[in-house]
Amino acid sequence: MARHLISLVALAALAYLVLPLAVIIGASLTQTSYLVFPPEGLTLKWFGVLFNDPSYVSAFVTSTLLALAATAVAIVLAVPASLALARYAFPGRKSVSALLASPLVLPYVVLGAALLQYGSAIGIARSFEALLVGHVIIVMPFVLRSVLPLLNPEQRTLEEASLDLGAGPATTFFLVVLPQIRGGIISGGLLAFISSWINVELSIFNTTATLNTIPVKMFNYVQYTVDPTIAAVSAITIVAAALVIIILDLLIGLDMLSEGRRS
Amino acid sequence: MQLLLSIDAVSKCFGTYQALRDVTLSVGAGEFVALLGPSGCGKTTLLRCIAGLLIPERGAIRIDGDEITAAPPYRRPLNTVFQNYALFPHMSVLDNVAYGPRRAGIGRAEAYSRAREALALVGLEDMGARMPLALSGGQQQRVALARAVVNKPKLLLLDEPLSALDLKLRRRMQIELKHIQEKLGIAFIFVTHDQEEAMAVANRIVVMNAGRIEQAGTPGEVYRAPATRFVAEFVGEPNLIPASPAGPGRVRLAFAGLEVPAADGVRYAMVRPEDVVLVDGQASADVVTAPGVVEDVVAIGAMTTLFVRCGDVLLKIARLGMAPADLRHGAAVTVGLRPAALHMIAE
Amino acid sequence: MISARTAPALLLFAPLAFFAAFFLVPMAVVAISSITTDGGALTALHYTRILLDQYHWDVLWVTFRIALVTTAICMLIGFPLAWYLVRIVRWRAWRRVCVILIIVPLFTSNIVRSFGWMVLLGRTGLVNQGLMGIGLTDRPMRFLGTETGILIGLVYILVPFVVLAVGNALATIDRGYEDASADLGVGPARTFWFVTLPLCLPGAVSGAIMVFALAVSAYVTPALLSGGQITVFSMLIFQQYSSVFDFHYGAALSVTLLVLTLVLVGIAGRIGESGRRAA
Repeated sequence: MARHLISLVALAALAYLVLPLAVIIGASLTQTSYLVFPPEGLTLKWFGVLFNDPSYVSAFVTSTLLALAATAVAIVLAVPASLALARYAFPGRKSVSALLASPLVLPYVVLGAALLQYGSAIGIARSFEALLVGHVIIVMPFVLRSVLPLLNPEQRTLEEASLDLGAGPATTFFLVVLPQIRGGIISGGLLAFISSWINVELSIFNTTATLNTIPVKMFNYVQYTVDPTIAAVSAITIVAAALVIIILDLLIGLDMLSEGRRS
Repeated sequence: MQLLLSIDAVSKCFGTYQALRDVTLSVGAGEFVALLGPSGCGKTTLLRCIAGLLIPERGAIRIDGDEITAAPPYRRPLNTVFQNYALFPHMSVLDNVAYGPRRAGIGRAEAYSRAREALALVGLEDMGARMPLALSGGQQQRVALARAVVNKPKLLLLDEPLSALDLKLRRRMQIELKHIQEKLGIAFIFVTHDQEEAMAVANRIVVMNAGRIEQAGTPGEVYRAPATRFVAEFVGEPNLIPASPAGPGRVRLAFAGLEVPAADGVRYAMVRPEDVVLVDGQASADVVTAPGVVEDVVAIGAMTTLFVRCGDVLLKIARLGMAPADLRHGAAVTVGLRPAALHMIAE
Repeated sequence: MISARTAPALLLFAPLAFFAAFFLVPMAVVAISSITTDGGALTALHYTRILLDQYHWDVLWVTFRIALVTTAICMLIGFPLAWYLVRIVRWRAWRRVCVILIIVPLFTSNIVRSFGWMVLLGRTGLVNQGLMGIGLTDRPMRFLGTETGILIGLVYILVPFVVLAVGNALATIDRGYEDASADLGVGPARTFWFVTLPLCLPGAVSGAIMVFALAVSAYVTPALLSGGQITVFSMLIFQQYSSVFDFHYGAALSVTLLVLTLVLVGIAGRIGESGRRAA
């Protein structure tokens, strides 16, 4: 009895989670020039409209370049940091680890405002660089969190064996350490990419009419008008997110709610 | 002895894996029964069926004549000591022990006084305020025991309760468990894979293998007269001397050409290593002897095991104390055994 | 060979320098400007302005009220869903699909998700059509620009956090505890109340506090679903930086929000930690 009630609530909750996404994808296919769900007639013309609008194309390019660059920089910074945190005991280790993870819990609005204010002071406000440094800060914790657990003490023996066999630290890093943490870099990188790609609160402070990311452009647009083009952009981001998650699932297995798993 | 628990042709499957096959067993009031077998033999499955944590597909389980086969665990007059103790980590030791009486609606004061009594029984009266995780393994084990007996069940199930303890503590707890069981008069069913432990605590041993009961009997019966080769090998160390038919009702053994009466189908004569001796000079009339050569000597202090080859058979011989120095690899000896100590096994 | 003393310094130099330059210093700039005037003199004026203005108290109260109700509803929806996924679903593939369905929204921009609700909750949206279809109302209800609309959107965005936090806690509870409780004669309902619930409470509480903190600092969803009718705290900050251009005052608001959030997250961390120790 209780079981059926819980199942009912759970399935309703799942429907609630899926509904808006389904509505957006559905609405993006309508033939009408206004938003409607269920769609009236099916067409992909709004996606065409989108790709012929230079402002959308440039926002797509900006968002993608920004996310790629932020992810790359974050990986380059996070891998040595996680090596230091996992392999060495040093004074202040806990504080360093807390500092590097803190952007996860920070209100992005606050960080965005801070970067605008600071950017104005050092002359990079409202530039790609200002966007990039902010995004690196907020996505780096994702890479850190994915890589750190893979650098467990048991793996350390492998590195000692490699050093013992005469390989130098650099060779050991590329031949022994990197292969162990590759999975973490990939999954952390995907998480980082996606969180950069969807960010509004941080970007909105440093974007301009010509330097715009997709989410910010959407945010500014949606406040005044809604039409099928915006549904088409949204649909693309939903499908992209779903693809990334399915890749992540195949890569690391997202079966995180199974019993018998110890945290 | 009054019948307490009867298990009648119980079977349990997990998918296509048959964990219990037609298991039938009776337990009397106040008995101390050990379910003994290798891992995967079905002993824990049987225990969980009795506890109500698993429901068998076929068969019936009765306590005091009441059928409880499909009754939920909370409606059965028995309690369990779990393998990992399952002490509630968010409650103090006293609250853990008082949990059963408290939830049964017994008044707070009465429930706590019973809990303190149970803790005193296991010698932990001063530990009530501690949290379970702050206790040692042995103490947690005692708390689990106290929690399980505080409700005064008719039957207590113990699922490998001592397996997490080190050897010395285990030995001590075995003796203590036996004393507690005698004092309370509750029937115990004790699951273990350790034959020494089973023999040390139980008045009756039920040997299980591949989902079936191979043999049930007193420790003496199971040790001296194993029903099958499996039991002979699982309980203690056997010497299995091959036997071949030698006329109706007789077999010839591969030891000194000895012929003994035996039922049809007997393939081995089993003799325990302590019943095989080395003979110096003249053997007494009831001992059969054969020449042998020592292959190995394994001495562990209180006991020495000699591996002696007699023709085609390699016999294990157990002797008290350390063996003299001349008993070493290659030494020629005379091996003797009493035919009365032989036990015939078909398969 | 690099010594164990210099290695961490070498490895951490770049990341820490980056964090110092683009995280710590900007935050310090905000903190300093929140207590200084344009001329650089120390002042508590920006904070007293927040404290003494009834409008700010109203905004804070609205923000907190929305966050509280959001958290409560998230728990009410998230707990059964987590229970369903961990304890009721027996088919692994379906659980995997469900987990993906829960995470996809997390990976989709707040904009997109709030936009979905703008479409659904509009005067002629699916929700109003549905309500009128089953006869619950005969005129379209107004959701956009109301607290109800913001609540629907925020709950939607934050429910996955609760499901993951509670689900994780549930999945790591040893079923042996519940078996032991049943064995001691206690039925399922009271076993849940006395054993299961206390054991997953740390996970649930820290999940709830996370949700509360995120709801307090949410910007995009309230901005889109309020239709300009309702103001929450993070909107105040954005206004100061984007249209009023009073950086000092904006900084004071930022610091207030930051401190509030950090305190909440700190509490959540403490509770989560104690839960891990007990489990």
